[in-house]
Amino acid sequence: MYERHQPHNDLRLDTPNSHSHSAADTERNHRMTSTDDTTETPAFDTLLELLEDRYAREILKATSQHPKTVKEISDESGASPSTLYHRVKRLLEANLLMEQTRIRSDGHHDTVYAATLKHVHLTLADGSFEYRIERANEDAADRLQRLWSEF
Amino acid sequence: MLGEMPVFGFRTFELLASLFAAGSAAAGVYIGYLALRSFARHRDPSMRYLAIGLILLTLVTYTFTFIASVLVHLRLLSIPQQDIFWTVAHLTQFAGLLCIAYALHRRP
Repeated sequence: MYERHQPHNDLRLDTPNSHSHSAADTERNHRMTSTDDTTETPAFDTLLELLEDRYAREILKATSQHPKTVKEISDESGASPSTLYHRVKRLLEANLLMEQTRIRSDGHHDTVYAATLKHVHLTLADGSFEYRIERANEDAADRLQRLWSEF
Repeated sequence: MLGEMPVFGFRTFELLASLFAAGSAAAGVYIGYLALRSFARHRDPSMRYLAIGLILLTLVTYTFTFIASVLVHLRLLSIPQQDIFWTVAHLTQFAGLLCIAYALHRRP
C-alpha cells in the first residue's frame, strides 16, 4: 500500500488548510487529475482529511485485499462499528470505497466494502500541487460476480 | 473430399474437432478460474459450485475423452474398456451440469 511508504504526517504538512490560502486559491492551486474518468475524484482537502484519519486508513487497509463487513473491520481494528460507519460513509462519498453484496451460505446476504484506492500520486511543481488517484478497476472476476448476482 | 485431407497424419475434420474441443476446455477452465477468483474475493458459495461444474464439464471431460481417443487410436483399448471411458466422461459431464444447476438453485 502507498501508505507504508508515505507517513501521514508528511501529508498533513501539505494540507491546504495549513496555509493561509483562501478557498479560491486552494481551488486554483490544486489541480486534479484522475486516471479514472468515470469516477469522481474527491476534493484535495477531503482526500487528505480521510488519509489523515486513522480509522479511515484502517478501513482502507482492511478492505484492500478482500471485501469486509463493518463488523469484520471492527473485529480487526478494535474500533467501534459506529465510529467505522461514519468513516465508511465518507469513504463511499469520496469514491475511495465501494459497497458490495456478499451472499451467505444460509441464503441471506451481507453488505461488504472494498477499497477502490490503489495509488495517490502527489506532485509539487511550478507553484502548484497536482494529485492523481489510481483506483482498482473492476476485473473479469468482479464482473462475473456482478452478472451472477443480477442473473 | 476436403475433410478427408490428411494434416500432420490426421484427417482435417478430426483435427478441427480436436482443436475446438481443446478450445472449449480452455474457455471452460478460464471461466472456472474466474469463478474461483470471484469466490475467493466475494465468498459467494454458489461461485464455488459454478467453478467446479465448469471444470468438470470441460477440463475433466475433455481430458478423459482425449485420453480415450489416443488409446483407441493406438488400439490399446478393448470395446468394454472404451465403454468404461465413455461412461466416466458422461458421468463427469453430468456431475458438472449438476454442480452448475446446484449453483443456480442455491442462489437466494
